[in-house]
Amino acid sequence: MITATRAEVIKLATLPSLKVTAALTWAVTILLRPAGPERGAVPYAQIGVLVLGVLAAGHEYQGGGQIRAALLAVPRRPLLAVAKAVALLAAAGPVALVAALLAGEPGATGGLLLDLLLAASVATIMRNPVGATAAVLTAYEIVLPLVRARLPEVALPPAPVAVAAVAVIATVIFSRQTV
Amino acid sequence: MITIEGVSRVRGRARILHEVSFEARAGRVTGFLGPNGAGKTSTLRVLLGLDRAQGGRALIDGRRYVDLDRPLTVAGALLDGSGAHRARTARAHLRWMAASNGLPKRRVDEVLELVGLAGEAGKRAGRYSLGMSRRLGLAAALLGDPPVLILDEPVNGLDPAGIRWMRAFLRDSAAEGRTVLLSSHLMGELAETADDVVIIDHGVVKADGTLAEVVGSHATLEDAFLARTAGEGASW
Amino acid sequence: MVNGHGAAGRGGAVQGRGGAVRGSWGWPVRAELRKLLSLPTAWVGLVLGLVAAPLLVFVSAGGTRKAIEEGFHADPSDAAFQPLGIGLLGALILGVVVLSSEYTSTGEDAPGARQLQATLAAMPRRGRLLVAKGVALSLLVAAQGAITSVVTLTLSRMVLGDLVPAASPGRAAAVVLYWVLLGLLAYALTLIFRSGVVTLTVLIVNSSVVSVSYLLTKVTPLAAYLPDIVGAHMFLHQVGDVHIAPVTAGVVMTAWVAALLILGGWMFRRREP
Repeated sequence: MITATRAEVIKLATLPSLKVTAALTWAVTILLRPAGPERGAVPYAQIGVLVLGVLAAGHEYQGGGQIRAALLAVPRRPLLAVAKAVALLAAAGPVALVAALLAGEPGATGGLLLDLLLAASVATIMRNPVGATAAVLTAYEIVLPLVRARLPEVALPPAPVAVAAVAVIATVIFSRQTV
Repeated sequence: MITIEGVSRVRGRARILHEVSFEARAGRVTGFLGPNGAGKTSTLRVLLGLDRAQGGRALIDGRRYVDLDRPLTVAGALLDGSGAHRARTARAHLRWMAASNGLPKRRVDEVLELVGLAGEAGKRAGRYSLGMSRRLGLAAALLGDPPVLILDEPVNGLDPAGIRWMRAFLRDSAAEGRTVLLSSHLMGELAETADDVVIIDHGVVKADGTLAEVVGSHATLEDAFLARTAGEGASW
Repeated sequence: MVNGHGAAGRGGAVQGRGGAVRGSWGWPVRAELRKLLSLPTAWVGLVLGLVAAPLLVFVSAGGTRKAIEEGFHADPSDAAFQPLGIGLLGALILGVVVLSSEYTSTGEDAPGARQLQATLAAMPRRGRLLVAKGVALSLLVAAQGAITSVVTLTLSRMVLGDLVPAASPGRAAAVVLYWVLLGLLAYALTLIFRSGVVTLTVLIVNSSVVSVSYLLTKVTPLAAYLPDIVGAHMFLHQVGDVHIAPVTAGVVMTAWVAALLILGGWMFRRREP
């Protein structure tokens, strides 16, 4: 378990696109904060964190068949899924924390970590980074605000419950998907 | 030692594998032969826990691959592709694989040296040629110095020097006592390398034995192969 | 028909590289349309674009009626057009995948192999390829935009009745133009970034409540002329605090898209010589 997690951390740390995304997330948060957005700078940090989660999980399925190499190294799929989640929180958690600090709301870190897990779960289910980006951002930035504004009577589940549900679905699908 | 016992696999209504049984023994190169789509890769994927079989057992040293604690130290596998993300360097790819099975970092440099990629280890996998990708895949298979090697079409994409190198490498591995199972549709290649031969067609094992037994009264392995898979051979 | 006897008839026979390749504009466009329509992701964009806006009309009918009755809309005719914004996501996805699909690995053997290799082998002239992609995309998005806007505006009339005035054909046409330009904007940005993820992130975020472009309009009114928001003035009378005439908006957005397409095309030619 520890070795599998360590391997997943190395994987995340050696992927150039994740470093670029982290840097851009911080940069956008810093640059937009002075413009005084109504809801603060956290929503912008959130966008970066969502993309980070999609790329971290989705890169396994891009060309080259890396997911097969991962399953040959760690064939127990539920274990690999847990190792991936822990590695993601360990590697990208600090990115979220710094982003929340830069936005001036360190308390938002927990919410950002949930967003990270949700984005990674969706990318694991969809196995296509472009599609997963579109799905996650549309859901977060367009559908959810619309539902809140136009259908206030609809009761949305609390974020931790929703994220846990999607993560469980992703783990089950991950354990069964043909790669 | 690899044991395949009555493995059957169905996908939708298509029968992919039907009660496939054979063994690959230690110290020998076992060639797994069949036309495209015969079930070679499917068998290897079941053996490696990538696909589920509806029936039968596929074991490595008596255990299922998914039950192995440090699988890379028991069996090394080369499937199509290098298994590396295109944006990652070869060394970074091998480093995460080594870490996943608790293998020392120096093994990464050793296998890079072994497959002749030491000078190109800092390049991103996406910039590799087909031959280099295959070598990187092989390097990953060798990371854990495993006693069992499972290779799907290992000479695909290699140049003549590479093919000769691979042949010698497989023979040497068997001579060291390793179990070597390789699939191929290249008769000439297998006749040069294999001790034992298993022929599969339409998901059914058609022949299984030493090279001499399988060739039998035929002039070459190719003749023996076409005779066993006659219906399909003629359609070409 | 392998070489271009038909091409001369269409007035497009051009001597190609090496002098052997002939062709017309019709073939590349048809090839790109086929290629696009054989991608599952493109169908997601196509269907999403078609159903999202009509669906939104139903979902938000109550809220919209209330908003009009309470005089929230200075111009009630906007209410019928606003749901169309969500359908634009479909056009964005189409604009992205028309190019991003080319950069995806084709197979497992060589992680460096991309579909673009086959595309460039079939259509070696870069300029013609990019134009063909743009034309195929525009045709598809225009059809999508036309169907969606007619359906959405009709539904709005049915649901909201006389609360909204009948939509003028000119404004409906402006919607279609906006869709096409936004699809082309996504295409241009994907050419520049070479990444579908980056383009989608930028454009989806900017069409949402946390739009960076809108945020910038608070810093400087000039931000209202940014390509993704200026176009909305073509068919909405009330966008933010800045008033821009529909024709001006159309000209500015077209200029933006043209400039970005030229930049993207130039970058593509430099990378794929």
